[in-house]
Amino acid sequence: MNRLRVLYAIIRAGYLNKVRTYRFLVTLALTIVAGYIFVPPPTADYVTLAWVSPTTLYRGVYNSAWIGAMVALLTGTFLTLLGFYVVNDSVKRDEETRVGQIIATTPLSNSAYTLGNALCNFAVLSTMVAIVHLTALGMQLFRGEELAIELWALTAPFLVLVLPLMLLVAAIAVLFETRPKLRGGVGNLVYAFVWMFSLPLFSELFDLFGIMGVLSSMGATGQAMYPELDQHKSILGLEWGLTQDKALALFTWRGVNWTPEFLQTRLVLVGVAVGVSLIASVRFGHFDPSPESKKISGTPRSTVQNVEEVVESTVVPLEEIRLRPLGEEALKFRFIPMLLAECRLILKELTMLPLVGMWGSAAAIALVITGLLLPLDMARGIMLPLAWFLPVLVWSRMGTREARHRTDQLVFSSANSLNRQLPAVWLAGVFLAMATGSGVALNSACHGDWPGLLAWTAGATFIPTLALCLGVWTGSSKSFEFIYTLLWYIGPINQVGFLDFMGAIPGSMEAGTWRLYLVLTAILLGLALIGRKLQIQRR
Amino acid sequence: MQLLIEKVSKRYRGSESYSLQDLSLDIGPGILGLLGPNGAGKSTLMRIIATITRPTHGRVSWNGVDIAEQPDEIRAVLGYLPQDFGVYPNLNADEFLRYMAAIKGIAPKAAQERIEDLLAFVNLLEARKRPLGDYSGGMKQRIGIAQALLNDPRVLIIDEPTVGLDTEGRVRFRHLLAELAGERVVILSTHIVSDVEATANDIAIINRGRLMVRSSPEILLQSVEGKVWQWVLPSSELLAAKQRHLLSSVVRRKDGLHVRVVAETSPAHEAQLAGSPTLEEAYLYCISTHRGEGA
Repeated sequence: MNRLRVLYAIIRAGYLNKVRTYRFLVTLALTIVAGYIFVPPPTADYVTLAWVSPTTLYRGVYNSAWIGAMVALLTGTFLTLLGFYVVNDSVKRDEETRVGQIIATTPLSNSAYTLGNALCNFAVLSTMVAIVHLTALGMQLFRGEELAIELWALTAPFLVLVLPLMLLVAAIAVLFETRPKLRGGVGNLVYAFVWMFSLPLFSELFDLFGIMGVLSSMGATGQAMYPELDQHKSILGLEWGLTQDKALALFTWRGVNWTPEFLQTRLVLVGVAVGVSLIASVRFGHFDPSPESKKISGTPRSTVQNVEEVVESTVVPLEEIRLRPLGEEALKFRFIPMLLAECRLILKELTMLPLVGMWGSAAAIALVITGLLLPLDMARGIMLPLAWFLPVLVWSRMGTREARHRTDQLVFSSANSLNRQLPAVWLAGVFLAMATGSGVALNSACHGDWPGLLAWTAGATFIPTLALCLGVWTGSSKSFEFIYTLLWYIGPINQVGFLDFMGAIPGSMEAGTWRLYLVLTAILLGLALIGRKLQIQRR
Repeated sequence: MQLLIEKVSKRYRGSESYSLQDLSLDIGPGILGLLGPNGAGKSTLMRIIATITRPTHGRVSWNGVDIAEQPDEIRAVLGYLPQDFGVYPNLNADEFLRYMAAIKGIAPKAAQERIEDLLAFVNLLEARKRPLGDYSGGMKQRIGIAQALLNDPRVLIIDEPTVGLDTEGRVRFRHLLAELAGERVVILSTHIVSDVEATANDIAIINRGRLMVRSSPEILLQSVEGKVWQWVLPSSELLAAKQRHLLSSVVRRKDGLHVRVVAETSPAHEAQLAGSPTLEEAYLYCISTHRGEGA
């Protein structure tokens, strides 16, 4: 009973702490917008769930069962990615606020702590799911294809399909947080990569999202009414350009028959989630502030002195010290030293990247050389995306560094920090992009590929500007890590032309996509300046 | 050289009460010790002067220029040590101070000389190449002091500077302040009265957001003359004494507890007037007599 009370206390405190944030409100707003987008009107030029033939689009009438299942499937898919970033800061919060060290001195076990945090994350994600559920209900009435509300048909897909997934995401978030190497930026990127690259493969083996079960039920109903409907030609997700010149054929679907076998697969997810949260407790450092890497094995040598001892042994007598005054000339502001200081800071961060360490610089140099030597198409299509992914964790600190390390009061109380320090931060980020992508730029120049070079320039300015703007406005490096990774994956890697911000796809250069990104860069830079100005003034 | 604070009030968003209320101070060259209990509004006042926070009402001006309107006027000559600040953990002391020097616009060569002097002053010469992430709390505090002095500031605002410093560190800091005294405005906010006693030529006591007293240490000491009593009492009576009187110190000796009490009249028949009151006792007296005033 006592343990349950402790668990409840952890969940409650964590939940209240998370939902009373501006970030949570923004996420909720986005969730409601997503719920709206997921139920397109018949006139929309995109579809979210349908079967397609050359002449016809087939979908169910917007009744409670259809809308419930459709919105649940889409929510399950997007919240398994976005939800992770919403909740993966519970342990970090306890560490940063030092509350963790207090918790560590209580009888609370590691497993209770990690389970409590996983359940807290689950409560937060469930709140978001509940909001989408209410939005779905509203959308059924708003679209008005069928006004009768069947509460169970609308709700069951959220309970059966989405909530087990949210529990799993909640547990994985805690697992990542309790592993020092998966904490923070590295974990954010690893999770995004696992989600993007592994889930499609994994879904073939296990119906993680419940998509196959639901779609086969819907498809069978549709086929019973329209025999020409090909069950294999389903679309789930936002797809544009399919509605033109196609007739819309509607059928009525009354919901999934939730068989015990189907429910068992969902229960497996619940079990896995509990297991993951318990695994998270194994080897969790319990807020020991001493870094793992500094553990020294064996008997310490007698010659080892700690920092304080070294300092005390070489104290300079006060009477020997004089502070030399600074003349007026020494205090005239110079931009170049400011820029160099920001560049040094960024380079230092590049060499201290988690997991990569000193190899960060070596990898950057290797990418520059291969970008220069490989055939231009390969250099642009492969090496440039890689070169401009390596420093993601450095760029993501732009605009957030001061708050992250609590140097904001020192920096913002310096003269003209808005028009001196911020431009220097931005330029240092641009230089980093130029340096890491310089091999491809030289390669383009050697081949006289001037449109390619323009696209490269747009990319080199766009990336750090996006990072700076998101950092200043959200105060978190997560937003850039998440948005940039998605953009990078969908655009340059999956070759979606209008998202190719770096000129990795030959067609996008001819289409002049780089112009769009130059304009976006200017807008984002302006927004970053406004954001920082407000940041300095609003205290 | 004048820092003028006129009827400044501050209410934070979402808060019903004022952290500062109608506070006015005229500050010239010298060291002003800002004293007050926790939550008195000291740090809020410091942040307003450092242009980090804007006042809700009132005006702060530096040499006649409103610093809310033109913050860079004071920022150009400002050294600021916040109560709660951080450092970049992957940089060493040298790199961090060079970075801060660049932000403050100091020429690189002059900055390097200044950093040498300051690192010697704060006793971090030997540790200068170690990452700041490995520093103890006291060492980080010393880095904070060094960065505040980088630009040879005309206005130095230091909030709880000796928190986390060991005894020697505090002695060195007081020496540093003495070295700095002269043609500059130094505002030292602290709840450690002995720091102020050793350095300040001017004292302001604030409580509940309001200015209680503005005075020199000598006048403040005079205010408590004839009001400090001492006597010996058994340990068993300590709790009752604490509840009845304003105790300024308790020292355990062979014959019992030697207590000092601040009171207008003799608190016990065996109590005698103490010889020389301390600034801490003057401060306690001031706070107790003004209790109930304020926001």
